[in-house]
Amino acid sequence: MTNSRVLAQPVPEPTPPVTEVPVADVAAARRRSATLRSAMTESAGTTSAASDAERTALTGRLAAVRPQIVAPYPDDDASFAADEPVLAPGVTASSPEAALATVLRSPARGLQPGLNGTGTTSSAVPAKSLEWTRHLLYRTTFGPRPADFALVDRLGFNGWIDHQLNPGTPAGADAVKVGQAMPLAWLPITATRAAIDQYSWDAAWQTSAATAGLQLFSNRQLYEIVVDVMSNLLNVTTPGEKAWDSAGDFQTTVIRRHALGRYSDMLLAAGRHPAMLSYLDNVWSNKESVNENYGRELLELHTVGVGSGYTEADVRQSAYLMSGRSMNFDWGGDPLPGTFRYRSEWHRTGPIRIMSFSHANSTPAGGLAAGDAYLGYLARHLGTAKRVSRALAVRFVSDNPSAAFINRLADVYRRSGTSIPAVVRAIFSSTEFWSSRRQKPRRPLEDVIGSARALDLPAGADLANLRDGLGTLTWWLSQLNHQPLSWQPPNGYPDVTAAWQSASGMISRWNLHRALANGWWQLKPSTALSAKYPTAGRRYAVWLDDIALGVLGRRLTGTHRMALFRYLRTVLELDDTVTLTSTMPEWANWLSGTMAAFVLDGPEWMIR
Amino acid sequence: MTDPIAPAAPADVLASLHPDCPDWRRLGPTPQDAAVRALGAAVENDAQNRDQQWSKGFTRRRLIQGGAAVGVASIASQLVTSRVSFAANAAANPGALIVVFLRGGMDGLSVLQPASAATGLNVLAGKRSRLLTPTSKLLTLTGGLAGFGLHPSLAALRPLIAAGRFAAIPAVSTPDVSRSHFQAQDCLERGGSGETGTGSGWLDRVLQQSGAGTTFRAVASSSRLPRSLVGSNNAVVVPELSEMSLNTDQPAATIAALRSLYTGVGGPTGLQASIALSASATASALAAREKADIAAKRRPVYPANSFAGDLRTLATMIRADIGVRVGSIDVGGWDMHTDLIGDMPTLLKSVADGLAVFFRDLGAKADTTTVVVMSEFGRRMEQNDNAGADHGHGGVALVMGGGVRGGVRGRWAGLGPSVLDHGDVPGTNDYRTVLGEVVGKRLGLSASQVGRVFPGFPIGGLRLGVMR
Repeated sequence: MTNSRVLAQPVPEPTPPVTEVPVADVAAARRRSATLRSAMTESAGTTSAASDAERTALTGRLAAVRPQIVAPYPDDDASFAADEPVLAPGVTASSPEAALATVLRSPARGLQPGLNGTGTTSSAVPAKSLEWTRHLLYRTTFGPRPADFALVDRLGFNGWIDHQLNPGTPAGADAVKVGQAMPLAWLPITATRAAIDQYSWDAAWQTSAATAGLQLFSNRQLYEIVVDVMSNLLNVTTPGEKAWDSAGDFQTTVIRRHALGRYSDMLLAAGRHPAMLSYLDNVWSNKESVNENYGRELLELHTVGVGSGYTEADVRQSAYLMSGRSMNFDWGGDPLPGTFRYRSEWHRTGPIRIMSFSHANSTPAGGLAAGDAYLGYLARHLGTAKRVSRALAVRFVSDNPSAAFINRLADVYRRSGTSIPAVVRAIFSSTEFWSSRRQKPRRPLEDVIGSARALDLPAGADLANLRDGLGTLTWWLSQLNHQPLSWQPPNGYPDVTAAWQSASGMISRWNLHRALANGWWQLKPSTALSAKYPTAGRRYAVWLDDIALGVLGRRLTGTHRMALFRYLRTVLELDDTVTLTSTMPEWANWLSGTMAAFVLDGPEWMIR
Repeated sequence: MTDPIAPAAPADVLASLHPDCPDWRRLGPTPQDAAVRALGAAVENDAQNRDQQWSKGFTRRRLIQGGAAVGVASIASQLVTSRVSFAANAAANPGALIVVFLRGGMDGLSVLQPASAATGLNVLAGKRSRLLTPTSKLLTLTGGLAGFGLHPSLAALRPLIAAGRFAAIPAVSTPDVSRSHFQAQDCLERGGSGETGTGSGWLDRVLQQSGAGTTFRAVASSSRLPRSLVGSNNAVVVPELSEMSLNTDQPAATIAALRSLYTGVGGPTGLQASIALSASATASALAAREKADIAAKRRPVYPANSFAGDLRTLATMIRADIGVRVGSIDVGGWDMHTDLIGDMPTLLKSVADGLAVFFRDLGAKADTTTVVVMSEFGRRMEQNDNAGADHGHGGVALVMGGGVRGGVRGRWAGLGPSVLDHGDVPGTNDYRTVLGEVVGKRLGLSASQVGRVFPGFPIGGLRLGVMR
């Protein structure tokens, strides 16, 4: 009975989380203001108190300070010239690595004839077929929209990768709407502070929700995935207690700016960003009392990783060298509170030796430059090369990429001057990638966002509706413990299957497929599935195949078609004379959404 | 009875490990070492698992069919929550072990504070004056070692303390000397040292040693499968029972269709689907019962936080006798580099308050339910400038509930300069000694079975006397 009532609801009303403060957040809750409570309510997708007019006004006011997000910063091509890749012995000019070198040298990367077309650059890239197209799209997007299949068909496999990595590729009109619907997302620090109350989570929450929005609507899917990988490698919990005013700016100026650039630049930017420095307590670290949180995670998580040979003494030295990297506080007459500030008077001087890095570090004033030199050393370290390569390979290829593969990618990383897109390209021209079909289960984020894309849900014209829709989406993701950017500890969301095994998670996701396909959410299919897949005069088998083709890009297997037909038989109370080849009654089309949900429930979708 | 054949997690899943150990490289000091160990551990695990499945499939079948030995080498055969298995379980139910993992490195010295000169109070006064609780405010814990007091935020647990069912063990550590959260947690949850290179989690091996059971014999009542339960014994992850219901007015037909979609599908996704489908009906029924009981005030009121919610879910399942043997809950937020003096009382109180209600709620089951509270390491003895403390070494474990011998247990050598480890509390008591004793007593495992839970650790006759 309860279920029928839920089914009849046009829009799901998620329970606001205000009554349940997670234990981990009790400390934070103590400090939060009443504003926060309203922010949390908003995060549950309920309508905000602000009227549409107020929202529009705010959008206009903030437009001036909002950086361009959806079409990210084009790479500084000059920066690549300095580290021109040199061909290693044994690498012939016709190899993928050589092609890659060409691409890196070019100012118009991604449009090189050698990497366009139908896969002539690498023998690993198979000839175009629907199954291989699905494989490519299931890994380079959160989930393919129907138009993505058409585009790959037109561009070819390498052409698709070029298109996706080209900073000039537009994110699309729906992606722009995400920014308009979430006006507080990604603002610079001072603008954030001007727009919200102190310690309010509004802006950081909108950054998280808008990130989900871009994952859903941006046409630059591969860029969004790389952004997600790098955000987890350099995790700053968003929204979180510490970077309430700077988490959005961190996403813009550290992650998004450099996601298709060099990791060395990203690491340097992170090492001067108040979001990271406050998240890992470095803003307080001074020569009298060195806080080693950032210094440690820098080695363990951001760069070389455990097992690369550093010691506890190195950790300590790392923390010494980073001391003084602080921020402007809200007291003591600091200018521009919330922004980065190097406090030379807090820097601990004295000779530094960390692994094979050494520095005299003799003056307080020179401490910042000394730290930057250290960050540059770390970014180029073999351990870091492997760690970054591994993060990308685990996302794109498999849970356990081979050591040989990682070594090869690490080599590309180092020879390209720590270029992230160079590693990404190497992955997609590798045998390892093309032989890894159907080895990665979808995690909650890839399932929910991907399902909405597979159903081709549009952003719609109504910004307030889009905002509420993204609010609901974010709430769902938080319930599945996979809200973008929101992982609590500094190591980022796990990317391997074993960590996501959950019986209740499975059921929640099956339920979400029903909500998405049946239009029980603010964002609905532009044509209801019942109209998109009419039943009148059609045979059951053909109807089911049409739905599967529309959602998955492939027909159902015989057993799965039969499984769905048996469901129809029960629900429609069909007698035994009706078979898969019988003609359907028109009124059966109300089950289109449920059938689409079953298609998403099954292993063809859940394993990618 | 018609569960699809669900093969065990493949080796690459074991090797792929967990959120806190995304990386097999941590299994050894050098990448080469780690690779060899990861491979060896995975192969060994696979072989063991195959044997285990055969033997357990056989046992289970015998139970159902009264001795007719129809061997089905499928792990799914143990996952069936039939009446028979309930009955068998209720008859021989050894009780439940609940592990509460406080992630981030709980400051042991705050929780169980030396309160006399002999135990090191003077040393602490010099090193962490701001973090100390006045001894007059500490709770008294009688039994075992003298000269310690408990943090006043644990006050809700006074009934358990008074009943002699609350033990605290100081200077507990992993054999891994690392002060990295992720390395230490991983070591702890794998139940090994850096050298044992075990792929599965220690709780998973507890299940393996404790034999067949129901779908619900291992429950992770947090969002994800914890590392300690990674392995081939298929814990069910249920943060909330109500989330186990399919949102449809055609539940039977929907479940039948989903079963067909996943028939013959191997790997972790197929396995999860199979577990979800076999657990859904029972969990939904329990959710309804829980809701009715709460409405009728037949259950005590839990604090309004997610930890207490997880405890209530576990209590519902334990009370219903569906065969919960091992439960696991994670609580984050203990990495108190800053403002420890503000955060510790709040967080500790929420843990104590939740556990106090949990034991009341369990009623008679409180006698057969034991809770272990632990963390990956303790914090530095010396406070930092931010009213917090950085990563240290030896921490504190708490054991409470049925079968516990109350008091301060284990070895404590004081805080003299020769005792300290890099200036911090040493790891005088290996955590495996604590867990081994609790597991053995609570779940009725023999010494050799406990040995297989912690391979490579000569647990032998080592006992701290935490359990009666």
